[in-house]
Amino acid sequence: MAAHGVLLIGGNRTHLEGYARGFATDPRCRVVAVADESGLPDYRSGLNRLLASELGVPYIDGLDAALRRDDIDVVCMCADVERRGRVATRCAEAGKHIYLDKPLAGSVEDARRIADAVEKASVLAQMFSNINGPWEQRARKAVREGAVGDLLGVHSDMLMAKGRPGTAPYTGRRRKEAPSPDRWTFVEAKRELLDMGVYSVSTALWLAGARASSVYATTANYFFAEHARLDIEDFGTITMELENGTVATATGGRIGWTSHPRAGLRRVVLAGTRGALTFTDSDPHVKVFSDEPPFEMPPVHPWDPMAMWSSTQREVRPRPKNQWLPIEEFTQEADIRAFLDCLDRRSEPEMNARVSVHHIEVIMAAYRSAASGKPVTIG
Amino acid sequence: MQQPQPGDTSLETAVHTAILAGRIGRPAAVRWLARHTGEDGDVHALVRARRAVVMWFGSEPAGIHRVGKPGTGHAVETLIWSTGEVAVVVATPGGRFAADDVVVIGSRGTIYHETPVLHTPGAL
Repeated sequence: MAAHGVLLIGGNRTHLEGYARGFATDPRCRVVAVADESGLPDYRSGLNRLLASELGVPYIDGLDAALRRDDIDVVCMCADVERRGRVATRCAEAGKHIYLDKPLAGSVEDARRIADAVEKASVLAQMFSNINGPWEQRARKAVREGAVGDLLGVHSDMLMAKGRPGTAPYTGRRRKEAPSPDRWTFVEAKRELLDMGVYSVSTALWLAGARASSVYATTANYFFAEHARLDIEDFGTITMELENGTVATATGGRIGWTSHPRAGLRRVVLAGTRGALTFTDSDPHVKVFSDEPPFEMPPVHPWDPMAMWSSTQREVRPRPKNQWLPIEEFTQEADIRAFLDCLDRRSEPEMNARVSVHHIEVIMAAYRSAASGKPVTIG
Repeated sequence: MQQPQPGDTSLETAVHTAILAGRIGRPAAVRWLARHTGEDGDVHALVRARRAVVMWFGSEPAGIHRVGKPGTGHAVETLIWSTGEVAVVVATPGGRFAADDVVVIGSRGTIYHETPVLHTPGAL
């Protein structure tokens, strides 16, 4: 008998496509149902029902009935970013442990609301991140062992090699950023400083072991017409001064299929008094060169031009990039296992809701900085 | 725009040649990690990187934001252009090695360079 009954909130064309299967394949879990708030647009509820059908579980329209169930003790929450504050709070108030999609929320207020509810309910919550991947674990080991001496800086990149680049119109001027964006969910693209930047910000701060006190950021639209049409960024940089005197930098972006031999530049550099070390998700790897057909950019899926979802990519069937083969791969399952291990031990996840609040504080300050062109202090 | 000269075998020139050939589209962003050695190594590293990105982007930056604790040899400069380009340059002590790790991102492709010495802790 599985120890945990899992409720999935969301559907296809969210990270639930991967998380759901990660929970389903762990012997400690039984996926009970898919659910979401009622009254959603047909587009979203339809995709939710489709995932439920693929998994062979019922779809429950409305959260109250789902969260009342005694056979559910864990929720995997992938609601739209704008709804996460409300939905995750309800899950915590119902006494359910929560595996949270990243980013935690689309505002500092919502992020704090989630963390407050989780702590009040004494449930466990973990936000998806890369910290349980082998390369980040090696980086953390290097920090703990003093491999670079005293840590002076941590520099992290999350630049996704997807999408057909070269279509963004060149304006010849800096992007005019909005100081307080409030819309994050679009069909064809995402705000990449938040969506990708949360990975590099969470990595850098986790390794540095400190909070950011000041942020200076830039955003830009270099690559994609899709982002330009929506007036959202496809690339951003953040420089952080941390409370312990170290400096961290983070990049977040989507830079196109042809920009990297694998999934993108996912990297962290530890800079210290003895030198600097680099850790990437691609290393170590072997390189294979043969007469196989070279990589070609796949056709653009009309509902997913940025190739964000496995469900749409199955339809366009991209040829895999095969020249670099990592010797060990990070999978979402590794992060889910870490969360389930915390449930088993009743121990606090490292990337818990409260820790994740600060990432949103940093990124929202980054938008204000990019809009003003000035550093922003975080209180 | 400054053109590469015959016989110039520097990293800067190799990147510039690729840019001029249009291989990555319009250069848009640079990420440069410079491991330095010697006295004032951070200053020299930042100056060198700044000269390189000016060559690659074809103009001077409109602004530079700098952070880093004096005396540590670790400093970060974010250079921004009025035309939208950005370069984030990190200068940091290299231990026994001076090395450059450079990523030049263009509108249609990316150039990577790593001085191939520092992937394992034993190298320090």
